[in-house]
Amino acid sequence: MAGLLSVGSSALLAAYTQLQTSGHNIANASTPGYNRQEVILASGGADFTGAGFVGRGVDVADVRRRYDGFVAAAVQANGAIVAADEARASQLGRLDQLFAESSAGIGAAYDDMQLALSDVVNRPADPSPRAVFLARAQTLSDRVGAVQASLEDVGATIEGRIEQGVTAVNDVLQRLARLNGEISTSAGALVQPNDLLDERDRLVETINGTLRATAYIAADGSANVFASGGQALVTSTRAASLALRQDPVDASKSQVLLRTDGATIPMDTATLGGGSLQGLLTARDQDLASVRARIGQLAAGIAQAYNGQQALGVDRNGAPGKPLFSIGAPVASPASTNAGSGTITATVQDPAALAAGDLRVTWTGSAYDVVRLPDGSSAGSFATLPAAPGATIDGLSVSVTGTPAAGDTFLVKSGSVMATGFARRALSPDQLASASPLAPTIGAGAAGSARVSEFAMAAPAGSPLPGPVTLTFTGPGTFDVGGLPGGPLTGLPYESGKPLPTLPGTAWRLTLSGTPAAGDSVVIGANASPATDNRNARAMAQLSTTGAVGGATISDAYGALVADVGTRAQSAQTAQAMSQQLLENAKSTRAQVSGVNLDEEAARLLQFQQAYQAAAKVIQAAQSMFDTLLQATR
Amino acid sequence: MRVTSSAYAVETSIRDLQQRRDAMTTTQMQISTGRRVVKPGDDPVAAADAERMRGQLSRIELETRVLGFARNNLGIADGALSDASNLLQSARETIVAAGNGSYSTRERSLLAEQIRQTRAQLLMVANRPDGTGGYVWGGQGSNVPPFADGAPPTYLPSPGEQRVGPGAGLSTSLDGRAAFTGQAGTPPQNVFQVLDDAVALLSDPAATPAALAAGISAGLSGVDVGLNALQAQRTQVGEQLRAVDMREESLAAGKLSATGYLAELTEVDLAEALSTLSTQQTALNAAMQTYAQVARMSLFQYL
Repeated sequence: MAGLLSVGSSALLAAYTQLQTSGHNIANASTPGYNRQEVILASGGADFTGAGFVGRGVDVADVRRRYDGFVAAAVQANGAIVAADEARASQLGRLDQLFAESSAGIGAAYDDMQLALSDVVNRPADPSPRAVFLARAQTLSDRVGAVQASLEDVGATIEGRIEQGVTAVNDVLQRLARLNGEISTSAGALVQPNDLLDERDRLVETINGTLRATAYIAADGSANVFASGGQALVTSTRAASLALRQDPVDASKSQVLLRTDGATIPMDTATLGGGSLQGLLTARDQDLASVRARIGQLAAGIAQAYNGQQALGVDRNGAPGKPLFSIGAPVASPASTNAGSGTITATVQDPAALAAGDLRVTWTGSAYDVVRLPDGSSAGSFATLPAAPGATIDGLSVSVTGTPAAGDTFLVKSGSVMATGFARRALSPDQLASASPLAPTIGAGAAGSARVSEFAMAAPAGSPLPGPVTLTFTGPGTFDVGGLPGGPLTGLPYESGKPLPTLPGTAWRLTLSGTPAAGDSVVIGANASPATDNRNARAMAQLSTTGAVGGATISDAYGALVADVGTRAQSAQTAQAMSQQLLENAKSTRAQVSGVNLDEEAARLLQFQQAYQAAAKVIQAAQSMFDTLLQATR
Repeated sequence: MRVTSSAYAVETSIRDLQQRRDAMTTTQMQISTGRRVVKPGDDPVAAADAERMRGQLSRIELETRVLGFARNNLGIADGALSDASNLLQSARETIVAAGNGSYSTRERSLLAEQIRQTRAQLLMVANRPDGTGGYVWGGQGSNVPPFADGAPPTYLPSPGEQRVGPGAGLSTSLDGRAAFTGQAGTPPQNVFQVLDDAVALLSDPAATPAALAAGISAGLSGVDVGLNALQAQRTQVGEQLRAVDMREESLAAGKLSATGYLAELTEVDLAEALSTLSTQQTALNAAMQTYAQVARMSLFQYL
């Protein structure tokens, strides 16, 4: 009787445990990171009798979670990639939005300015087109400023997100270390602390949302977590922490540090390996840096083209043209961690040759390695800087003085900072240098048919203006020159429609066409009517077709900028969609193994309920047997 | 496969439904804005090309504006050249008439008066404004009437032309010296001086027949030089007007093709978008209905 009772009660207990576990599963059907649990039963063994073995009932051997470590690791790894892609795509979405409205863009503002300039060409004496041109130039610089400000804002948001990510992940690392302690404490029992292990996996997954972390599970169930570069994040109950400091090379941004066991290790996109921090760093150092550099290059190109043309002309009153736009200067600085005494300076020599990027200079001990940022391409290696007097790198004259130590790094920021200072200078409409300082005039009474087909200033004429230069033809194919600062020249060749040879001491280029007669003359002297001349405005209107920005026209450079932003935004979206799909696959596999199916639980509930009822019947049978026995002996 | 009804399964279904709705909203937005490419990221190549096309259209507009201005100025110049030629032609006829030996001194002085009138009109034509603040014969630029009256009138601006347009091929002012005061010839002839000389000769009662004959012959050849100079400028203006016409035609063609390409790049094909929208609607509807049905299924209902 006692045997039957104990068999019945063991079955009752087992069914009750199963029912409770099913209830737990149903209760946690929506709990993130929950792995469904099941009761492992084992036969309670048997007593030996002469007739054979008689069973003793059932034992609850274990309550185990349905869990596949490899599937969980796949979810963590893909989660890190998704977090990185998502963080990058969300920032790029903002950049993309900045360039959404083409008609409100920098390109449209530039075209509007050129349209106004065509009215100045048409009516140089009229003050109103000049005022319109200056207003449109203001709009252009405002647009560049607005884009620049939005880029700064995106940069600030990224820095803020990095800080948030660092704070949040430190908290999670601490929690995991504490959890490890609890897990190893309860590991003394022979059964697994299922719900603590679920929590452990969930925390590892959370860490992967910020940076890639690989978990190695110790025998006691605690997780040792390592970063992508092999640095320990959590070992048993000790947690490392992330911190931020000013980037030693570029003080304008922060650098992520890992403090572990007394060591401080700078983390980059490679050592972060994934997670939102990696995505944010990529967005900041690759995407945003590229767009900023292109804007800077564009602004510098516009400024140099228009300022240069202004300098070649004279304004309404005959005064030399003043710069139309101001532009920021490049900033060069040594890294704060440099051991040597080297200092660096950089100035713009050829704005049209500026590249869309900054330069990082590293002294290897024998040479300066110069690398373009953000794309990392080499700009050369030089034993000295400058390599030769007057030598430039991407339009910049870079020079290092003092004694750098091997490994010292310097940063030259050009593209990324120059747009900050882009603004229209305060000029009055009269100060638009629409006129050429000098003008050619065919001498009175010319018998031949020679006429001016092209006249342009190649360099500023200087102030005061040089004296008149007279070309006198000695025949249809030769001419003499008088009035040159270096003395007269004779017998120079003339060919119709071909530019005349460059004359020493002159800043202009002249092309005549037609057949001159001997004695005909051309005088190149001061422009008598700067108020009504349109020659320099005409040359300015032609700037839209010259390669002012790294060899491309201003419109094309802006188009390339838009394409760059679009391509980056699109590739980030695609990457996010793809990695999201991979994560979905991994999660789906995990759900297949570990997820709760309510129908299944319902069926099991039925099954366990019946088992419970059956076990109760066994006890009832034992009881009625006992009663029967008692009555028999009454 | 083991299907789960955990939070993950619900999330997946919700995300699928959201993605469908998102796609539908995108199509709806494309239809309402009429644009396929809203952000560069929608289609980077199309966005960059569209930027280029927009720039090209703007340059076409710019050139059209310059051409319109040049056409206006060239038209006015052509009219002025025609007027000046007519005046010189009438002066020439008067000088020819003055060669009639039977004319009395008084009759010659009447002719002289006629030439004086013509000369005054010619000076007015030579100082004709171009309607945009300049002068037809403004040379390299002038704020004041280019010919100052005198004996003879002098040309004030720098000789030459103001030009606009691609390759600076269109004149918006003409060289007054070449037209009136400094034609090729030795010595350079001022057409006003020629007329002044004719007036002086014809008003001189003491002029001998021989002097008259010589003076009239000189006057005729002088006027002919002037007419030739005006004719040369008129040819040049006519050529440029023809060039403006041709260029405007090619610009109109360029504008049409750029506008078409821009539309192709960025604008939405309404028929296609509407059919996509209705497909998406059907799909979303079906997805929602089936989800509601499948999600309702549960063994617990039967327990």
